[in-house]
Amino acid sequence: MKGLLKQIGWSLVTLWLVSLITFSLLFLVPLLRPSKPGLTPADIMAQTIAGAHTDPETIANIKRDRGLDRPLYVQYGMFVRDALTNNLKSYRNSDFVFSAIARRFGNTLILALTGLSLYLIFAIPIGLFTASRAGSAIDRFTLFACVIAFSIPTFWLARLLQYYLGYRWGAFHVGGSASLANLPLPALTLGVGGAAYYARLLHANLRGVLSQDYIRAARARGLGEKKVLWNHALKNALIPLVAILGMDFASLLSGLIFTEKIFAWPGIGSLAIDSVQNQDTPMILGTVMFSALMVVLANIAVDIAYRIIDPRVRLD
Amino acid sequence: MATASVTFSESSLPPRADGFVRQLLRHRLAQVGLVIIGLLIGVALFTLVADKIDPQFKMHLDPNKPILGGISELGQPKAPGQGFFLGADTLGRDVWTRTLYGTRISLIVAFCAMLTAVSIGTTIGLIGGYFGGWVDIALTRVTEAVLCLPTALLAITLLVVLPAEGFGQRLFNLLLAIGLVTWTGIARAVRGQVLSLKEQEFIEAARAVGCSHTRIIFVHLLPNVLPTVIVLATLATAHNILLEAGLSYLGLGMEPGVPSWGGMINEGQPYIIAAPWITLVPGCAIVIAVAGFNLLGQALQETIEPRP
Repeated sequence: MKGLLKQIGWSLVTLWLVSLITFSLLFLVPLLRPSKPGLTPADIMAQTIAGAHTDPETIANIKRDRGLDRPLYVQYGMFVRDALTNNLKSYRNSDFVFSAIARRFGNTLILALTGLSLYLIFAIPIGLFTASRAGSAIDRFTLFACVIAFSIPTFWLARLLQYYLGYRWGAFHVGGSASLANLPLPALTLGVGGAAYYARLLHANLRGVLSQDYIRAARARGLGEKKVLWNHALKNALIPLVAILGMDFASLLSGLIFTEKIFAWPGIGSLAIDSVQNQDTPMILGTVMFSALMVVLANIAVDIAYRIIDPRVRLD
Repeated sequence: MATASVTFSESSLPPRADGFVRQLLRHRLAQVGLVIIGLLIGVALFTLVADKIDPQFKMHLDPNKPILGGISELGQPKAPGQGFFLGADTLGRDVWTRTLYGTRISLIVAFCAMLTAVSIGTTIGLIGGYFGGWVDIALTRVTEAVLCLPTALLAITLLVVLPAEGFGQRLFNLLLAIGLVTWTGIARAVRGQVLSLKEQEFIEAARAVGCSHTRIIFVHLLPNVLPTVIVLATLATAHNILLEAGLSYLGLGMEPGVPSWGGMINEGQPYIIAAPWITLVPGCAIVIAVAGFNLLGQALQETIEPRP
């Protein structure tokens, strides 16, 4: 319990650092740009909002409204205050950042969870199959194929699935909205690479577990190979995967950015990439902060799960 | 995905460098990986001198040369065969030639970004792990914070806000953006190892005879974390090729005229129905290149830390 509280405390520090990093990125780096003489950084920021050929009066209004001419630390304070009270407003429309994120969060969660379950649905049989035939030709070929599978770029795979499975063969919907019919292809896009990666990890873990004494003991008691694999080995081989799942959550979100964009799935990934392309600074900050929050929460959840399934582990 | 943590115990240290190399070369995955990487480097070097050997070669890249006739009379890009090995793109350029030229950007960016990430990650890991205390806490927190950010999103954001004019600047931006978001896994792994290494007798002995901190870090600790760093660096190169392709796909990579795999897929995807080869060929190139580094990385990992 004490360890958990400590971890939550550190997570808050992490989130604060994340906000500091992203804020300074978005507000300091544009200052490096070569600009016309006579333009202050605040002018440049205001021009990003309204366009380069806006009249000076509008620029002055924007600067005053958004507090762009205030010192950076004041602006950071305003950003934190607005973020905590959901007053952070998009540069491009009248949307509040966290309202927009909340609207889309459900869609992203459904897609991410479906992708994650595909990881396990594919990885467990492949891992069990190859570990029980360790060293054979088919085992080596499957593991080789797995390396190829997690080397495929998400955005390319998404396009191919969309074209072949969706358009040419008409087996699935090609996307366009968040509906059940549109779910299979983006979920498969996310699932293939992850499943291959986890299959290899599970294979390695299983082989480690299978060489342990309690497995030999189970075999010696006359247990069938199937029972040894499913009842004894699998459970222990899956435990380390749980920890890695938490760490990989950030890379799952990265995959979501491309997948959501290509299948026009209205989630947080497509929101993030749209706002980057629109140079919608508050929205970028919001989506980055929110994904960091999700990663932090996923890690805490994994820690709790870890304590429950494996009481030997005392994380500090 | 490529930067999984690598555990590494003292007992499994490779006995000697030459024995290790021989063991690695016997590994099937390493053989395939090394052949692929060798081919990629060969192709990249070949494109540097190709137009000196045969001036026609680079002209396949040029859309303003109607002699080549990559576009049919109906205005469609030519399919594979018909004088174009793997077809032409919508501007009549040879897809095969452009894919070969794309190797250069991919390898340069992936390799240099890997070096950036390795230098940042190793330095932070060594310093944090060795000195401990507040230095360690601060560095670990920063590492965790960057680890929480989705790499692709952070790299995209960096590329959008950095000034992007000219070939050199864009190349530098790509290296910087990829290097700055991928060092965390290396820092974590190195720190973990240093924590266990510094408790061992040889470090204590080095301290006892009065070695300076710098000497202990560079002469005694660095060589011992090197095997792990090499494994992670190989896997990171694979990851960087993917990331570079993704960024170029979004139009954030090199300028439009410069052939890059991600950029080619971006240009080809609107025509995927009429001319799928424009999208398929560079994609296959990415898969082969990434798989090459992943295979070598896996083989290295298994050679350094053999399975029970």
